[in-house]
Amino acid sequence: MARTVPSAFVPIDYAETGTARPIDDTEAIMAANTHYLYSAHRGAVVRTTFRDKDQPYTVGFNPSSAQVSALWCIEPPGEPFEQWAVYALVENTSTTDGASLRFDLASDPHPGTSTDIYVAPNLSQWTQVSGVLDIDNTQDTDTIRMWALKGATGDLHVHSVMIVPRAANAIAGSVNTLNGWPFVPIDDDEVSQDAPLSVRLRRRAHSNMMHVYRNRPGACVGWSDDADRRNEAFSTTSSNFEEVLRFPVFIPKGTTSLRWSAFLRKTGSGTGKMRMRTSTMDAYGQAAITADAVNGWSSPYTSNLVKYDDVGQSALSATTDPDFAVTQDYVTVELQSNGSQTVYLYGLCIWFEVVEA
Amino acid sequence: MKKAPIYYKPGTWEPLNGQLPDGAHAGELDQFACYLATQRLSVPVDIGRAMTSISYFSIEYSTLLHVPQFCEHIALYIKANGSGTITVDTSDDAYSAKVEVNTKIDTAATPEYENATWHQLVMPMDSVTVDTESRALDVDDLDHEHVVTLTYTCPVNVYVWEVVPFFLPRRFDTTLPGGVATYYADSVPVGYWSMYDWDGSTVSDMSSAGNGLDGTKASSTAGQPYWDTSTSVLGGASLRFDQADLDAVIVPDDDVLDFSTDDPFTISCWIKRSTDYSGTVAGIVTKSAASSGVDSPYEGYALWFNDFEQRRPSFLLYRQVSGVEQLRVQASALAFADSDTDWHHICVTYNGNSDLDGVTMYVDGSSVTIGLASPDTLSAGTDITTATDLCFGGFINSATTNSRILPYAGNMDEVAIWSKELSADEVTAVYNSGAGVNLSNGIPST
Repeated sequence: MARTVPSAFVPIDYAETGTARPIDDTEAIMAANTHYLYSAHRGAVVRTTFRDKDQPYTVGFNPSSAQVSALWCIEPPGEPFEQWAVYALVENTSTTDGASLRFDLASDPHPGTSTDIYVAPNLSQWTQVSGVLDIDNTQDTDTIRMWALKGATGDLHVHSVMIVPRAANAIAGSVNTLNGWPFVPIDDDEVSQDAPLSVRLRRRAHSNMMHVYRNRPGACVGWSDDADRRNEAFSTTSSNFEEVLRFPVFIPKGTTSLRWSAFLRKTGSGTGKMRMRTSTMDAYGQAAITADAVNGWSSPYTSNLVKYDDVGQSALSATTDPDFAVTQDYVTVELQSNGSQTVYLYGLCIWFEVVEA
Repeated sequence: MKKAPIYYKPGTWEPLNGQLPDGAHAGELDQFACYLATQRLSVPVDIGRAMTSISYFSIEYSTLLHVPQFCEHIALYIKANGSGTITVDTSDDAYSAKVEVNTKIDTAATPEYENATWHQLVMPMDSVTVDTESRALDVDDLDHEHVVTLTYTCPVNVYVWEVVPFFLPRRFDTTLPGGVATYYADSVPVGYWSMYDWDGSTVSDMSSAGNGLDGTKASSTAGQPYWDTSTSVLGGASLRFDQADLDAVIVPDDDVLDFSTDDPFTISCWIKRSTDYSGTVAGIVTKSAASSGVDSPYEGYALWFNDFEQRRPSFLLYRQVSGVEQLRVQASALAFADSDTDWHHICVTYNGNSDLDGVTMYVDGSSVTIGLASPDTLSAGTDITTATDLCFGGFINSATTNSRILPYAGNMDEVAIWSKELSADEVTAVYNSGAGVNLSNGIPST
């Protein structure tokens, strides 16, 4: 059966849905709009802009081996999304040699389902390149890794990375019951003029929208430091918790908790910790979330780097005002060491928990 | 004329629960879908202290953004300190916006995160739009992707620590879309300034009359009057007028704005008084010079406050050649408490008879008692047309520089002028129980 998946959401004139209006193609549009929301309504999970001190950012070591330059622990989006769309702003200073930017999943490391984005020689800075990477929806969380391989000459610079689930151009006829509220695609002939949207189909359209409402609150942080300049962003040697990050978060309607992942490391011996909380947690006297950093460093971003993907941890609490579409909260991140060694935050991703409904 | 916005649904959505789904709730299903499509998308923030180490020269810094359908503006909350102007450009039609940073850095060599402060700017985005007539799609590609690059230019000794983007919900209204709703006859305003723009210096005329009466912000301080996205009647923004800086909007003179004493016309606007006024009468919507030294003959019309606390709405038809000829009308009682900073609708209609009984003044949809503020000396048929520009927020005090006096303090939204006397029913519809209404295509009658 054909199922219309439009390439854009088509607003319906409000008056066309009134009780006195004849049933016509309006309801077919409404059905198609639920397909659009299901297949195309999603936000980015990773937005990272790399930085450096007083010079352009450079990744890529020697021409014979790539290394992990950045990583993000994220939650796969589930059906109907099958691929990540990866965008990067890059520069290749070599006039003769191409470079490569590879993205893969820790759950299925290269060369399985990785994508290699060729970066042509002599590419000026802030040139946009893109590629796609298969999603492993069987994982609760997964780590997307960026590998950089420069050419024999020149440098590969990566300025910014964004990763978003790629919109689906078609949807399967099967029911998707992810987190309740089943999404049941509506076949075209079910909403033709001879088969107007019935009570049953209206309930189905509502359920489809609730499915999107529950499952697409999005992400608010998708950041990784870079391997080359890994000591530049967030660190402390303080024996007391030092606030390194505090930023506002716009909480979508219905969302009450934030899920998170982090990568941490500590030099030398002793303990190091990261602590996170929201203003809501402060206001209600709830304990902050504390995670331990690990010692040592041997290979950038591939070992001696502890990953927390909030399994077994608490979620960050947030408050939404039921009267508003979005409300605001604050996330605070603190680091603590032992007064002499250094604790580093190398990666942080935060996304909104599935909405209670 | 700037294309009128397509209005969808209220900005919030309420669960339908078990009410589904008779015919009446089909509209609510659509409302739910519109809410999802236009509001429910988050965007990850920029963290990592991206520009904090650059202190010796200005830099550029670029980042990617995935823009959803219907997004026309994005707000950027920038945590920064130092002193200078950050410029943000987008790859969308080279839109650009600036924000001033002026937060002290205690130690220039070691900028302190703790004393950085948040700054806000609003950026336009190219929206993926839908033509409601043909339902043809104007999309960048069929993968629904609209990826833009934001480029920040950061001057010397300005430190940016975090940038939090937020997709602003599309401007909402409960008005029925054009072409479906019915309207009062001949109710398209000759000029309608809904403060739809949200950024820049232009205040667009959104009337479908097509007179192109775009205004321009004017102030002794750059950027003012400010686009205030924290409060509005409609459209997500209003203009905030700072009295001390003589904030105003100037609409160039046009024949369609020239009314004489025998021409019926109506002025409507929403105001939100500030209690921070300096004690002067204040112009709200005026097309009248401030004195005979500005314009000769000195004449025109004005909606204004004829008291020092912005509490008494007044209306003026004026001409001064060899002597004063005027119809000066004011509300008999103060319309607002001194502490009142709520939004209020003020509307004055005039039927063209040159007398007090030809004027009706409405506050929040209800007519109020009025009286003469001075003897009526205006003769019927007197020409009061003037070349002076239309002014929101004051009276023009120089025909050459458009400098202002008698400035207004507070917010203003949804200014409209008709070349007819609105009926009481029409004014009620414009007031819309305090919610306001989109007037681009006229005054909705349903």
